Amino acid sequence: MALRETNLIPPEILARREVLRHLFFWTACLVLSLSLIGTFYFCQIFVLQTKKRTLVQLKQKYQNLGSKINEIRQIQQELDRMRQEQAGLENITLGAPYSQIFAKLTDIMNEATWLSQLTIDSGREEEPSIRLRLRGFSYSADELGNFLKQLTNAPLFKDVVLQQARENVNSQFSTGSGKTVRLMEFNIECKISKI
Amino acid sequence: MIKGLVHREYQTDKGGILEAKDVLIPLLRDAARDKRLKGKRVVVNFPSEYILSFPIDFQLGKDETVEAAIMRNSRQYLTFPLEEAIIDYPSLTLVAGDESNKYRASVVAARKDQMTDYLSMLKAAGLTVEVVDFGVSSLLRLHNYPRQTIQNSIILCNLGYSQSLLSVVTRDSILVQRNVARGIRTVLKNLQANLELSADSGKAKVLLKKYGLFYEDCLDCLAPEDQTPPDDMREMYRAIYQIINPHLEQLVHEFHKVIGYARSEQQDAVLEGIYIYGPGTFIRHLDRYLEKRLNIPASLINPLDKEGLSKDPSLSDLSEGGSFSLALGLAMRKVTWL
Repeated sequence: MALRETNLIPPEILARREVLRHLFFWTACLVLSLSLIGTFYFCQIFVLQTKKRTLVQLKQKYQNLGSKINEIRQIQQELDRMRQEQAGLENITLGAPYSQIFAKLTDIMNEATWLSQLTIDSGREEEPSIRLRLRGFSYSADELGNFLKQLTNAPLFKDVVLQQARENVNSQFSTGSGKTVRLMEFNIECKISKI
Repeated sequence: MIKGLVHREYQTDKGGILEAKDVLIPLLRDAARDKRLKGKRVVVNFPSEYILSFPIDFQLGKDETVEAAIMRNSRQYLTFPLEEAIIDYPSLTLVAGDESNKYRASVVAARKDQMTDYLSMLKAAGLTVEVVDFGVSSLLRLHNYPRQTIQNSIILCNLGYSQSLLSVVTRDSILVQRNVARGIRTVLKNLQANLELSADSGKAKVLLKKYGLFYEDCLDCLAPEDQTPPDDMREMYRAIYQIINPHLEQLVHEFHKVIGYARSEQQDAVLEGIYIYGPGTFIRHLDRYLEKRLNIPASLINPLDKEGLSKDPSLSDLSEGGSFSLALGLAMRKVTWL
């Protein structure tokens, strides 16, 4: 057997010291462990809270955007509805000039000229004007010229174009003096501005 | 690694260390405040005059532990009640023979009240005592450092100022431990008185270092590093020798007692050598002196000469290492906190 290390401190002092040191050591370990856990917990909470806050902010933004999108949609719907109403009103308002057109045509038309066909093409909505095609007959070219002149001068009608004017051999008319005249058949196109 | 070495002598008319609290506590407090001493945990030796040391042979009873058997057998050797004693055993050897459970132990004992006083004194100085060691254990630890192993029995001696420790140890047991109330202080004082030196023991110490016990070995030689004529030198050697020789003869007598006791305990004991530690190692030719008288090889050991102990450049005077022998042995004790 080898030599032993001796210690002459009374055993009760050594035992008390050992207990106190163990107690201190394990308390320190416990405190350290708890502080580590606590630190980890608070760090995690901090990180999570930051992420959560960002998430909440994003959600709020998303909600705000959603509500704005809804608003925009409502506005668009409102706009569509108003456009529809406007279209309806336009149809109504576009109907109104026909009587004016007729009245004006009646004013312009001389006694020696009359219409056999009147075509009104209101066209598509985006087109700003209404096409008007006039087909008819006149006693003479002069009368037709007067009518064309009147039509061109009238502000309601634009772009007045004489598409066709010819003597119709098949159509003859006897005047009061017993004279027979050939009728001038014409085809005029013009535009009427939308109101 | 050695951080620092401090040696302080204290003067008191009172007897033992426990009676000199008033002087010691301030000294220890100063040492504790030294910046080189980190922490307050210390390992100390209990003064040998308060320690009772004895060998015991015992046989283990049925279901008896070694500790219980030591306690049972120590009672007869103690000079105070067993209940008031603190007992430990630095060595335990199984005695070879027919009975396999026969042991021999070296026991150290101290009075509990004295130990408590000692611990209180150190506590008052601001120190926390981790271990109270036994002088021979410290000396053995130092002797075995760094790789030295004891083959046969050796004599370890700490030649102190006022107390000296003599022990015979083997590789695994302490055969004899004896505390002698003699040291070099009486030698120094005698030298001062005879040569009418001042109260400064430094001069006496220088004479012991320079001349010591050289006279015996040098009847025709010249003193080294000295221009004094040989005759005058020889006279000086003789004078010093004559003054200190009677005191050292008493020490030799103590050695004889210890060796005799060791041989009575162990018939076949071969004493391999005498190793002198402590402040007394500065006496020139003390090893040769002891060798001649005891017929055993003797060595004066300066622990700071040991490998790995004196590399610290902060240690200015390595020749004074002897005074720190026990302290260095104590410092080598491994202490765990928990």
